[in-house]
Amino acid sequence: MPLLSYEGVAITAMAAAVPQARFDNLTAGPPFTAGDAAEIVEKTGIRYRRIAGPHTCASDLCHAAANRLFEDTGVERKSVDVLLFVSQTPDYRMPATAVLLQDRLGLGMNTAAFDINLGCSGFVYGLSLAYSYCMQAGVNRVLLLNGETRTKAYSMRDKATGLLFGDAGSATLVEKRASVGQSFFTANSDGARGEHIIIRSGGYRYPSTMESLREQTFEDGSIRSGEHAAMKGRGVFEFLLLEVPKDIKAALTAAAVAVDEIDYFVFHQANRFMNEHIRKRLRLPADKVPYSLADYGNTSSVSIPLTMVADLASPLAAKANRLFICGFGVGLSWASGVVPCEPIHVSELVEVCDAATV
Amino acid sequence: MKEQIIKILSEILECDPVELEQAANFRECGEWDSMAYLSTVAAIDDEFNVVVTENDFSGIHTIDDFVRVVEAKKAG
Repeated sequence: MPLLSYEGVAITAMAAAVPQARFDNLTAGPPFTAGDAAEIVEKTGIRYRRIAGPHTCASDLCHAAANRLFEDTGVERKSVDVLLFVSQTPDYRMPATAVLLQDRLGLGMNTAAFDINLGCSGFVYGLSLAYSYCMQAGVNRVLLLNGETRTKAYSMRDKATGLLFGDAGSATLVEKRASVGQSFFTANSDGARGEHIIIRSGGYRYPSTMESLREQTFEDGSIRSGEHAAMKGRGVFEFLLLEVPKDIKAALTAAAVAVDEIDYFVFHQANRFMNEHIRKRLRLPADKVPYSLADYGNTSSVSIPLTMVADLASPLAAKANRLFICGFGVGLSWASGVVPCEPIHVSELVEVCDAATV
Repeated sequence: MKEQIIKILSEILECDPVELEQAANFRECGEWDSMAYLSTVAAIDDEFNVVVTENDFSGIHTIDDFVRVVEAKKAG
């Protein structure tokens, strides 16, 4: 576990976008019974999710969020030095979506742009990398985009995962701010648990075939193909309990801050049952741990910035805060950060209609 | 410890503690679905600061097995 520290770099503006179409989990059809759906809503805390239509990609949601950020802050687009796009649902297998977004967002050709293939840990990893770039004398502004259309990766008829995921995109502007002090990050990986959350077919290991696209019905009534994501919930929970509290404590120790010196703990929004277990284990006060699960579900790497925009906009804009962020999931991969912030410009949440844009 | 484990499982499985204690396989005392599994792992973690893994569960059939596994894990 590397311990990373950065000085004089901060988040200065944020925006997020979600598809306009909202799905109510209580209206889910087969293979979910009304009783199944009610129980899942109760245990996971996920009532509504936003679902991207056929024309909307993760990049489109990030594009909308970034456009709003530029419009609201007046930041000159050509002044962005680095563009990072964190996603596992890119537009194409090549080229990198970040490079296409450089053009679509009107950034200069002297912008460094590339994709980062991570899921639920991706905001923390991306932010750490953005801070690292911003420490360079020749870099003043980094735009971090997190975008996911996870509802297209999972089968909506998978009983283990069909009601958990939502789609969203976010834009986070990182700049030099001498007065903000030090930030600390951890980063971890466990490829031995790679099979716990995986889309097995459709890559280069197991390319698409007629068979991989064929939907199968499983013993519990779930229906999915080899090109849908599959999750082993028990193994993932085991990992969370064994590794995540340890990492959170390590990050707090590295930063030499106590729990009561943190204003908000913004965690990846996995589901309420798992998140609340971690919160209680660490004895964190409920009013310091915001949730956006009820309205947006699990949006993978977007869940931390989406929670900040949807639930913390007022305190983030009004005052300086010391945030603790932690992302954990597919990989398996997990990371934490202690991130001091000055007042952040937080744009209002953008809703995106499904329309052919590219 | 045995009493606490019986209490946890009888509440999750909604079954009689005596029946649970005598069962050859505790899973047969109620609906042992994935939510019951996760709730049990969470409750054992809360109560004993021990994470019972899927691997551990494959060797747990009776309440005595459960106690043995938790004790062994607690001992380190």
